[in-house]
Amino acid sequence: MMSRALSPTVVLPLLFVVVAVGLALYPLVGETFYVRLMAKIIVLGILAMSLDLLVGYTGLVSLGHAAFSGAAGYITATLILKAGVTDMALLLPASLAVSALLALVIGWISVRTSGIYFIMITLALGQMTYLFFHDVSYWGGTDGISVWDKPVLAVGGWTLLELSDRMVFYYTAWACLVAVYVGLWLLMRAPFGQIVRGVRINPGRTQALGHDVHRHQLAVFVIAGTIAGLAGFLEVARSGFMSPAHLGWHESAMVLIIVILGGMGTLVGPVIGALTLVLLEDWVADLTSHWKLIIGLFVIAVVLFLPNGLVSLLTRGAGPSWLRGRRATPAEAQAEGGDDG
Amino acid sequence: MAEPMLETRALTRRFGGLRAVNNVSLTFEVGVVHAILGPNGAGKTTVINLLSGDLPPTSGTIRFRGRDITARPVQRRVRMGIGRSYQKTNILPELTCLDNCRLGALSRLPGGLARIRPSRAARRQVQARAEHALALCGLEARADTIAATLSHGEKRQLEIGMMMATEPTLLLLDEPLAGMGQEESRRVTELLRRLAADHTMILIEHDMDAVFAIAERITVMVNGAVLETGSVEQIRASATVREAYLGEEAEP
Ligand SMILES: Nc1ncnc2c1ncn2[C@@H]1O[C@H](COP(=O)(O)OP(=O)(O)OP(=O)(O)O)[C@@H](O)[C@H]1O
Ligand SMILES: [Mg+2]
Repeated sequence: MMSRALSPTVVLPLLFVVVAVGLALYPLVGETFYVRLMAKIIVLGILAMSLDLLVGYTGLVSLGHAAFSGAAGYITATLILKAGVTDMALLLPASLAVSALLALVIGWISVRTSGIYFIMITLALGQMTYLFFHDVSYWGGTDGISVWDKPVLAVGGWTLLELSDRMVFYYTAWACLVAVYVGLWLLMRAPFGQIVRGVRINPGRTQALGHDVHRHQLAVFVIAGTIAGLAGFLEVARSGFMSPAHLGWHESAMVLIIVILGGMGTLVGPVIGALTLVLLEDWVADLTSHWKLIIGLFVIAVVLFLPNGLVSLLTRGAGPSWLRGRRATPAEAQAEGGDDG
Repeated sequence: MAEPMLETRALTRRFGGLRAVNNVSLTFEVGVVHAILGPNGAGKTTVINLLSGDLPPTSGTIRFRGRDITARPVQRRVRMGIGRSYQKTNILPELTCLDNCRLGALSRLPGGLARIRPSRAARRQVQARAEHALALCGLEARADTIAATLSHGEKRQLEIGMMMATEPTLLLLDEPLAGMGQEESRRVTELLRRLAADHTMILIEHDMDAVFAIAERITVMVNGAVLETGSVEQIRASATVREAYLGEEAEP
């Protein structure tokens, strides 16, 4: 038996506190280059946490998650460039609404399937979104959109936040990271989260206990898509750039790898995954031109030796055992006839 | 005459060429324990699957308290008061026994915001329902035990507890005693007898002692069709049934 102090329900939130405090203090000591890298990690961490909600908590493996951050990013960039809107009070709700709506449509279609079909359909619909932004010339084609102005939050002549200021952006993104973590942590402890956990473990039985499985899956899909939209908005505010590559399947797969690398179903794992992958990339790319190969080998090694992700180094043996196990498919849940009669 | 709890009309379910349930019209009266007997493959589980909504019928209708529920999805039927247990244990193995029951209790929570920020009273109610269901099935001492580590018999008890947590009025029980030892069997039969006092039951069970102990009406199915329906005495005395199914099993 594990010791009580090592219980993941204690270790994981503690780990997040450590990571969050570290990220908050880093700009005080770090070089500018690495502070920028940390800002990128924070945005990626938000995106990865939102995907973890789907993959780790609900058991829905999506390969089209970048569509939501990308669509929100495009809306933000386009509103800034073509309409001259920099008011964050307009940009943020607009981009979140677009990603939520897109997630509602894609989710409504996708949750009707499961397993490998769910992966395929999210991939296909994600690629359709990619092609939409890639092929319609209004969005700037392959080159994407570059903006120089950044979102500003002002209330009655008082400028509260100017995201063009790197430090202001950094701490705004940091606050978003913390808010998303706390919000999702609370959500998953609420009755809603308990039902979603049931949906992941045994959808057939959860339905037979009175719960609408598809509706819960769709709700999670929309929440995850909306948070991905927040990451897309922040990405444009960070880099001033949005291109089709931001929402292609390569990007979706990369986020999925980050979630698996860090540890599914833990929320903090995806943040650690983003931290690890981005820092590793930066480090290895300096050493050798074969850096992609090295990163690939690293990911494979982690998956083989730490199937519960990097966070399981801390919660080893105490990690959620289901991560190793396989979920019962609805077909199995239904095929109860005949074998012990 | 009082409105029946549940009524099927010409209920049929095909699997390819096989008519697993063939033209079944049955009436289940309020407050009555109605057993369905039949040899392996007779279509008993399929009937339960049709009544619970796990499977859609090929044709025919199902009425619950006068309302046509044929097209209603599983979760709506549960919230109307139809609970079921599975022949093949169907629990959430990685959760504790209490959490398994809590999932059932949560179905009584209203939708929307109550599921994200429930009131203190609502949370208490869910907790109380889950604990009550667990106590009912005799597993209160196992509240914090991971369900996967239970013995087979205890898993079967939990199966009943989870169903009871949804507060059903009609219980669909698919071989609740399957694979149980004698002592466990006796205990669960006693539990079923207690539940029978204030619930309507449709009971599938191969254990004849249990059936004759609690059932008031019996339907015998063979090859997907109803062979005969009657009181326990009628079925015991029926030559057709004896020939087709009961055989020596029915002799004490
Ligand atoms: N999902 C399914 N697909 C195809 N055939 C099925 C399916 N479910 C049941 N059957 C078939 O339908 C028939 C009736 O099966 P059912 O499970 O209802 O029998 P049963 O009376 O519950 O038997 P037992 O006493 O063994 O539990 C069997 O021949 C079975 O093989
Ligand atoms: Mg059966």
